Amino acid sequence: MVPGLYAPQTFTKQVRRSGNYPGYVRTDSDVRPYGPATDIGWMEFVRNSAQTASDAGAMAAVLQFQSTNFATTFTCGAGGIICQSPTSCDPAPTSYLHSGCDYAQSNGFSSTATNQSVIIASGVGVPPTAPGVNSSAYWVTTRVNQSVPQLFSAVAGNMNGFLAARATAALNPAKDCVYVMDPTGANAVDMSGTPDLILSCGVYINSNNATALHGNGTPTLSATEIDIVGGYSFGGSSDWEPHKNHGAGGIEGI
Amino acid sequence: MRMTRRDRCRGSNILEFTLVGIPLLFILISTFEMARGMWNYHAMAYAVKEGTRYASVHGTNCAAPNACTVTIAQITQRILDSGAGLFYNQLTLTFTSTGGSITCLATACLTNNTVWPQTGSNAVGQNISIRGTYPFSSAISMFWPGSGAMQAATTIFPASSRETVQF
Amino acid sequence: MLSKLKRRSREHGHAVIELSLMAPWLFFLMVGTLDFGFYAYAIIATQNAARVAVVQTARDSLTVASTTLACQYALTELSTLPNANSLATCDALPVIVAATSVVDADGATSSQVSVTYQTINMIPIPGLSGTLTLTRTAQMRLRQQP
Repeated sequence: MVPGLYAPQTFTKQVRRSGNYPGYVRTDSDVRPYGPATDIGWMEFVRNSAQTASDAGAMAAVLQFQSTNFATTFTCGAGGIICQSPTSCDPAPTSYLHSGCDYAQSNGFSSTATNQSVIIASGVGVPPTAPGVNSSAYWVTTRVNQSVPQLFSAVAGNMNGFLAARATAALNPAKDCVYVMDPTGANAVDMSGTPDLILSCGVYINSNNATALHGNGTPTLSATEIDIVGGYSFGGSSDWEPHKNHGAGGIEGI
Repeated sequence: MRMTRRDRCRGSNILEFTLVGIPLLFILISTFEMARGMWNYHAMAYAVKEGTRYASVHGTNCAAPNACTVTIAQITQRILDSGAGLFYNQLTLTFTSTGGSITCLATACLTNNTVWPQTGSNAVGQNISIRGTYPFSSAISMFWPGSGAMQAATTIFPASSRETVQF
Repeated sequence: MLSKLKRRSREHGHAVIELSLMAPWLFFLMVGTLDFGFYAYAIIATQNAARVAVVQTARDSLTVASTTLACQYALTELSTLPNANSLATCDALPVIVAATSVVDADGATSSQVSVTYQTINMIPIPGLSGTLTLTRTAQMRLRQQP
């Protein structure tokens, strides 16, 4: 693969997931002591489950988008790119967003259930649900809601508690210009002794090996970012700038 | 003068009240204390785990060009918002990353504007963990399973969570 | 007059009788609150363990079915539970963790982690057994497909 000739769909799968605050504080907990001990405990568990579902849904939707959409610029409505306001998963979408609904369902939450709802929103640019994230190219937000019948708290008049969880996953454009494509090799980038690699852009190491990037001695690797699919190991007094992003998504060569 | 049956029954009500009232009061207070303790116990579990997840999605990628890094104070606020019923001045939090540990009482954590996870310890894939302890004082702490010999009537509720930085 | 006295004397002691009839239920209420508090803590920890573990195993094809990796992270989440704070393995109760590879409807590979935790033996009351076995499962799509 020659950098520059290949339309880069090599977007790093940088994920930003945010949560939402639960809505169970409406239960009347200062009158019935058993309410907090039982009902709130149960709702905390259900909300934790809902957070798992929304995390999985948001990630899956973005990953499905990335695997089916090969555009280089993202414009709503063009090239199959979907930007939608919060929309229920019932009926299930036919687009790549159905992955979000599927994974929320595999984690126990579905819009077809009477007391649950799964809602997906998507768009380009900065996600409104992740303040401070300024460099996103495309985002998906998954919201999972559930109404939970109360037990002891119902005595005080709160028949149902309501909880919500939210997660946002976003794609960030890659800023790399050096790509090391070996998918599994150890020491895919091996700098031993006193070599210097100074870049005004990023380096991307595609190996998922635990020592994909290896250094020993006093090498210098300076780049705007270092994206590693696998891991890294250092010995000596290696000077690595900036700090590594390992666990980045892999790319396929051609 | 012979004592009538009516005379022998005088004072029986107060005696019954004494016999019934003391255990009933004990049961009622114990139930309230048990409910309060359990509320704090599972609130600790949920709050600490929620705070750790919050920190895990505010790592190195929140630095420039993004602007979403968070501080100890913000993470602590998130924990307190999630932990309904926990008192600020009793909750102790320990934030651990590859760059070291920071321990503070929640009231002090709320004024700590150190960015966390720190630069150098916030790369995607690096481990972070938050541990919380919360003292529960009640006379019924002596019945806590696994507490062993109790000198003071205080039980420490622990909670911890570890995740890797995701963003 | 004598019959009225006899009726009053039969009514003495009713408070003790009522307390003796109500006391077991009040005691069960208290014990049930204790038990449920422990169970709530345990199920929150178990669910979070499944979530944290699957985030790790859903990285790539090397980690997708790594029960060892899932166990490592799950045990940390469960470490504050009374019978799980010194465990090193997850192949037998009280903690069992399993990570498996699953193909979803789109043909993509995902990781599924199942965490099973058995609580300590609490005080059994009618409607609640002393020991509760909790199983939570989480599934996430691989961030890097094989």
